Amino acid sequence: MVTAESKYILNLEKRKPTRRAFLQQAAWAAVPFLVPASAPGRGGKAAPNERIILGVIGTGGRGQYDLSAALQEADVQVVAVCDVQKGNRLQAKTMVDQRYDNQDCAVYSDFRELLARPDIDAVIIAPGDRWHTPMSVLAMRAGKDVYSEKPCTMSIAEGRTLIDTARRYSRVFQTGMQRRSEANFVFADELVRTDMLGKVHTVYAHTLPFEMRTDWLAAQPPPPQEELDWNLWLGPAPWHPYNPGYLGGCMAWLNYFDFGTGVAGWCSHTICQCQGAIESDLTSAVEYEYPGNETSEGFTARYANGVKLVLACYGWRGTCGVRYEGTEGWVSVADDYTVPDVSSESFLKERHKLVRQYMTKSQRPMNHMRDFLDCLKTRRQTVAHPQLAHCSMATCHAINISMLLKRNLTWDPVQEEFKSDPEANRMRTRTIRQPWIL
Amino acid sequence: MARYGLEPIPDPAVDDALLAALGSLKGLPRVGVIGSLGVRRVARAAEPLAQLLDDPDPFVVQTAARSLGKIAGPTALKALQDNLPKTPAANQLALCEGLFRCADAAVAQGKSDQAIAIYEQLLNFPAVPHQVRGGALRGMILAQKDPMPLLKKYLAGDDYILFTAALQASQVLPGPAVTAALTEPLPRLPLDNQILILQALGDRNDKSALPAVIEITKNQDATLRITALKTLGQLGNASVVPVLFATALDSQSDVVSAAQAILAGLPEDPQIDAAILDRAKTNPTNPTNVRLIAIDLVAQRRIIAGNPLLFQIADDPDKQIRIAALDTLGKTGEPADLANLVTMLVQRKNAEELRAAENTVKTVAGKAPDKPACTAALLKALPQAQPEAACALLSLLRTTGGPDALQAVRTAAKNNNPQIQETAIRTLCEWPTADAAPDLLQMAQTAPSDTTKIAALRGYINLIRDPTLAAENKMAIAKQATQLVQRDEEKKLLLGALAEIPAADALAMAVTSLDDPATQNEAVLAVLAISEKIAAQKPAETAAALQKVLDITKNEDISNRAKAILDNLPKPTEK
Repeated sequence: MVTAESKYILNLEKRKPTRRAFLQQAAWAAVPFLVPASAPGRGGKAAPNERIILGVIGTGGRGQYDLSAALQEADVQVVAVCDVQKGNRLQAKTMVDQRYDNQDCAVYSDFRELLARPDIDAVIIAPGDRWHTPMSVLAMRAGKDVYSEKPCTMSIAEGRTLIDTARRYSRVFQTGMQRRSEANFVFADELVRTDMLGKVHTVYAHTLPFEMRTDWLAAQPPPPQEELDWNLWLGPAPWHPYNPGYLGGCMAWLNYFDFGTGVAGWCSHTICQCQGAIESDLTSAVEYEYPGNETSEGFTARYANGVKLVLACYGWRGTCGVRYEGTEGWVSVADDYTVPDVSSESFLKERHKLVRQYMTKSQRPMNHMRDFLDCLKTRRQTVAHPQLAHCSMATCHAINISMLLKRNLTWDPVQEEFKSDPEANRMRTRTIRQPWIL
Repeated sequence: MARYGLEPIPDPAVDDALLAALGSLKGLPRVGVIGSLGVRRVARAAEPLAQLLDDPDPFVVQTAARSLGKIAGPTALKALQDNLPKTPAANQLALCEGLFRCADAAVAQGKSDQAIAIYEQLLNFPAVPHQVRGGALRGMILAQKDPMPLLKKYLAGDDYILFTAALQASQVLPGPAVTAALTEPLPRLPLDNQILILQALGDRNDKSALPAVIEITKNQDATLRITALKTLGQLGNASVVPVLFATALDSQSDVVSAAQAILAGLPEDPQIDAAILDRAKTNPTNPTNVRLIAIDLVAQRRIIAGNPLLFQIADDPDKQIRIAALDTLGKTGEPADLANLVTMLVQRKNAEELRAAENTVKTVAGKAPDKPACTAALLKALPQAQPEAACALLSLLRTTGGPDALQAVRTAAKNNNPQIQETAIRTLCEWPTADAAPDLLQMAQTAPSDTTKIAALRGYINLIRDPTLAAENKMAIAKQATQLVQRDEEKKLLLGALAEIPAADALAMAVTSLDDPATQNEAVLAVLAISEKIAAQKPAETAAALQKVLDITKNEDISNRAKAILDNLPKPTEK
């Protein structure tokens, strides 16, 4: 009898690429821009009983975290890693090779070479924020399903591009808003969605103090391209001279306008969580009230259903916290909470039941990477799909624009435009450096 | 950099500037201008961009193709359609993207026929990659006035990519006809396709799919069955409960686990709960294993409405059922049920059930806010209880506490029945609050047996840990206990309790034990713990005690901990 596991192994053996094949593919990929339409390969079939062939692009700290999650899944085979920094890509290769006890993981510095491999079904995309949308779009056009880190867009316009691309090419896309797949957060959301908190009037989203600086660091001689491909590091962002101060993790570049996403550093998580709880996944806040400070503390936005969203830098014992307040009680949760804080112990009695019922009705695992892999096979929408990601990111971007312009804004989520504010509307897009225009 | 300033400005003069630059720039700057013309959707740019589709520079061709797609319109569409067969392979995807964009524009303008024609070209283009084929078919289905014929054709077809594309199209098409299109071919499809359809049916939440899904639960393939069960969970109403129960008794263990998990996770619905409770009832059609599953589900789903039934079946002829009912009442019982639970406890006929009932009462009483009421319920039942039940009630009084409970235990400690007396004494010795201190002290001093004396002394020492007790009262107990302890075991217990008293007296008492090799380790730990609490208030005493620890210890961790406290002691004020 052929078991499901043996089917995976059989498929893996059949598709195990040779060294020669790798070299041929690499040479072929030197042609600018991706896969010719006649590319052979798996032909897009990653059916439920088949093993998923995965590549990882961007293997710094976050990419390695995602890679670890993927390596734990029995039906995944990671075959390639890519990073513009040599140290990052070699660390990732070591992780993969140790997991499979071989030396087979291919290494790339240019993600286009990895995307050109027809044997790869899906990619994890985890470089800096500036690359999330362009790489996701290019990967989906190349026929890959995509797990992309958050914040998944740099502008409101990028969100629309992401949705359109996933739709045009029938791709599965998951953004890494992983608290959508964590039991404590799901429980808090379910308390709202099942009306146990009564009518919810206010939701609080944890944020880092707002900062989008526009200065540049002084030019320094870049390292050899083999060590760091600075041009590819910049990618779609405006050109900047090299300076090592931009490197070493997201905190180095996060607060520069050209590389970062302002409040979305954390709000890409927390606002996404809030919008899900108040069943506003497919819309964005409509009213934005500039708080009169530089940090965004207390920034208030309102949804069409009347719910107020408040940004708060403090108020939780862990990161990425949310708090929901209703007429019958409240719940507050952040990372590292053993159980959420609640206004009434009676809520906690329902915790396991509510999470179990959520999992049954949604068929979502409490494992964000697993949800992506399951959806890749079944072609379902993921729990953090492009439309949802775009709508919560649009709220984040609108808050950034309000903070930058230092004024209140009104957003039309259907037309996707600010009312009576041409200056704000011009900020819905960011110009992309050639040749990365999507 | 000019693009960064110009691109978002809506003024048509920007279009003029970009068009002028198009003819003069070379290389990547020209590519940037081509992209900006697309971002701005400059209709006038369609003709010049169309002429770039045979440019030798692939960046130029690909960016122009995508920009033409954004501009759309007849010129752009014709250029893209004409050039797709001619362009080098490396450029084909960009032209496909341009055509997809033109199709989107056509759909938005209500020109479905034009969109369908574009999709047909993409679908039928030789050697087109899977993502373009799939996307084109999905678009083509959704652009139809009546999507059903195409949807049915490809859902039943044997091309997996086009099957998944049709499936994804179905995800955005509402209505029972689409559900029927999904269920109709289901039995004839390959296993992978069936799994995908089942998942899609679950997401549609259309109950008309239930018969087809239920049929799949009878399949031989475990993966398929589990997927069907999960779909039943998503579609979940009371009608799926019998199917899930039937499957929960299957021979395939992973199928059984899935069925039980899904039953537990079905939505909050009185009809579902009633259907589960029906299977817990004493009934010839409910075998014991079904009833046990049902009772477990009552606990998992916290079906409070099931408590009357649980009380009823706590007297079931089947012992397994009785025990399961008692256990479940511990999870679903409310404080208001306590009197009935106590009555049930005293009626137990065997030790195993009595223990189960005791645990149930303990759990429910433990979470009840009104502890005096709980004590009253226990005391009310105590006089008539048989000795075994009386012992259980006495033990439970320790959980509920209070003066009435303590008095009842005191009284029972003098009971003529040795079993009751022993339980009462043991309960007293484990009493958690200091109101039992006089009783325990007396027993430690005067009890007839050494065993009871030691147990009472240990209980007395443990009262020091009562968090409601003031430090001076803890110290008073410690001093009394010091006079009674003889064995090293109790000395160690006392040192452990002393560690919780933030007082110089406690520190001094612990220091006296540093010289005793039998208790030195416990004394060192007590000195450190107390020192950490009182260092700021009693620096001199702390310093002296810690110096003694440093003199005797050979343990590096202990030394480091002592030095850390010493380093942070307040410095004497200079005179």
